[in-house]
Amino acid sequence: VRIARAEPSEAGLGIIEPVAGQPMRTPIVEVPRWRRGLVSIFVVFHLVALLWWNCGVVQYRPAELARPDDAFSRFRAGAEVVDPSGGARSTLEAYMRGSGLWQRWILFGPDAPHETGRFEVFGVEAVGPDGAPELDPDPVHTSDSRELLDHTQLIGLVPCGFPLQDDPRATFLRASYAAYHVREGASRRGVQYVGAHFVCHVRELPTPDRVDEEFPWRTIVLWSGPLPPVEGS
Amino acid sequence: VSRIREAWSRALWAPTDAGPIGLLRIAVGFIVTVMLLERIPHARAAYSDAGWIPNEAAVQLMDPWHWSIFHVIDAPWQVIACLIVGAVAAAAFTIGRFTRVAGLVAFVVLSSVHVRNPAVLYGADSVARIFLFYLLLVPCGAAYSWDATRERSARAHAALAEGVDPRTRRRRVAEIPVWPVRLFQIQVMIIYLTTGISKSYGVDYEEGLALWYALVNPVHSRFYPAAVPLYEAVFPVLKIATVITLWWELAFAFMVPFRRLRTVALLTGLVVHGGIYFLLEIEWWGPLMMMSYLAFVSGRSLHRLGLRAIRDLRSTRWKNRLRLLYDPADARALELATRIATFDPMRMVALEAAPGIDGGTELSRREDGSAVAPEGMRQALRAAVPITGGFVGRRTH
Repeated sequence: VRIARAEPSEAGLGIIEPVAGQPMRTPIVEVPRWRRGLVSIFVVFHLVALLWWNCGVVQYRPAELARPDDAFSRFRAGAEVVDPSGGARSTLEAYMRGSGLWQRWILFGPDAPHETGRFEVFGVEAVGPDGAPELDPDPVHTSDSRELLDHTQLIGLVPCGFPLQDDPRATFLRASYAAYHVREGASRRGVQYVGAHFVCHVRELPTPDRVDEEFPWRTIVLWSGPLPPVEGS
Repeated sequence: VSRIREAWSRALWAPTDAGPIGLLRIAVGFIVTVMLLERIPHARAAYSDAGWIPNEAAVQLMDPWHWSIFHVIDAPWQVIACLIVGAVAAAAFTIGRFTRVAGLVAFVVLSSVHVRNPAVLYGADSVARIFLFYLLLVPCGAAYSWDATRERSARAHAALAEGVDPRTRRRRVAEIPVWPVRLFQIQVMIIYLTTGISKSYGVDYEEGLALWYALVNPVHSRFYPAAVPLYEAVFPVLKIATVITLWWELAFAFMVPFRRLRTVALLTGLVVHGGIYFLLEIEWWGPLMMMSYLAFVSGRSLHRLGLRAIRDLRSTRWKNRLRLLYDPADARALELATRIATFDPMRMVALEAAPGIDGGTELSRREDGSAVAPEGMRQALRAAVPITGGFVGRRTH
């Protein structure tokens, strides 16, 4: 193998030029043997883990589910309300039940948001004692907080490490997010709310041949539930 | 067996130029610093016990082996303090001061942020964390760092004291073992391959609509709605660009191992990511991936680029290079000469030892030996360089 040798061609600039004519062996950084062994084990383990994990990622979206529509249709395909007792961890479930967040949940139906070709605006509605919902006028996060909030995960698209979008943990995230919004709004305005809706307003994006068309907005409730009364109120 | 062992050793322990990885460290460190600072306004809502995921729930949400420092530290002010510590460490990592320790602290804080609330992450967060991890395996402070500069300064001081400009000596290129760089490269290749496979499942890419949908989506589009008529007019171009993007992602891993194809893959990547960054608001994803290409660039190429830039600079803007004479015995002059030798590795200013020189006397002669009025020369030079005892400068052609 003909290999270039590090040979500064211009003083001070460290330009590496190949040495003409002479084949050379690649030099090796001198390190203790035990260190080479450890690094070898690490490298092999790391590569196997990397490939194994990424094969899992690729297989995660089976073609038979995804092909008919798009990459997100897997989530639509499994779009049923999930039994909360299945797979929920006891402590988390207890927490959610105790805080009243488990009362009602709506996961993905056929009108699931966040597909390519749709435009979504998220909002949290606070439900007053008279049962009328009002959109939070001063939300903690808005759908414009791009630097922090990835709505694809908040609404249940595989939050980091969660195996399924219908995992109860994903539901919990939406519920706790909505409840926090409403609690904060209530304390700021000094009012009492009894429930919260986490909603998504969806509108189709136009295709190139329908740019001038006005597409209607539809509202999807991602989570809806009562709020526990605030202590001392 | 011995041949295999030798080949394996060469594959892992061949030395490689530390320059590109040093630049990669600066880019990743800067982005991680900003990412941590960006989270400070959201510390209470997203990461503290007073936020929308209480600590108890956060612990339950993640698998047991996912650990976060914010599982222990949960008051809003504590979270903010921890984020600041992480950002300071990331900044130190960026400039290359205590590089390994600073990088480790930044990595722990960044990972803790991600584990504490996984609902507020996007792709670039994971990529930044992974890149930072790989950079911890590399001695990435060996080049373009504070620490490396200090070492260079010490060497320059010793050489200048002997009356030798260290930049005229053959410089040893800072080298690091290649194995962490290879792992980094493999990681980048896998990112593209898996992304390409995932995208190939959808019909949006097959029909060439993916780019169109991204550009007309008000959530992401940087120029919505003003540019929509333009996008409509150039839709056939967008369609072709969509298909090229998909095939480029799928082919990237198979192109970069080969030198000629590597150039094509990397240049295409720069165009794709640069275009996405310009047209869409997707924060750090594009810059991170573009910076990762530094791991595929040889130090030799970078040096060549630098050399060409210097030659251009010298020929156009620096025709009259400055030659400085210094007295090695004068501590102040030696210190100034050391700084010049350290921060001017390209020798824009030449240094020449002149024992016993005095600022007032040497200025009285031109290079051709003709006499010059000392005061006039002094005034001319004063604008260009500080003149101290034992240190004077003059322009040469």
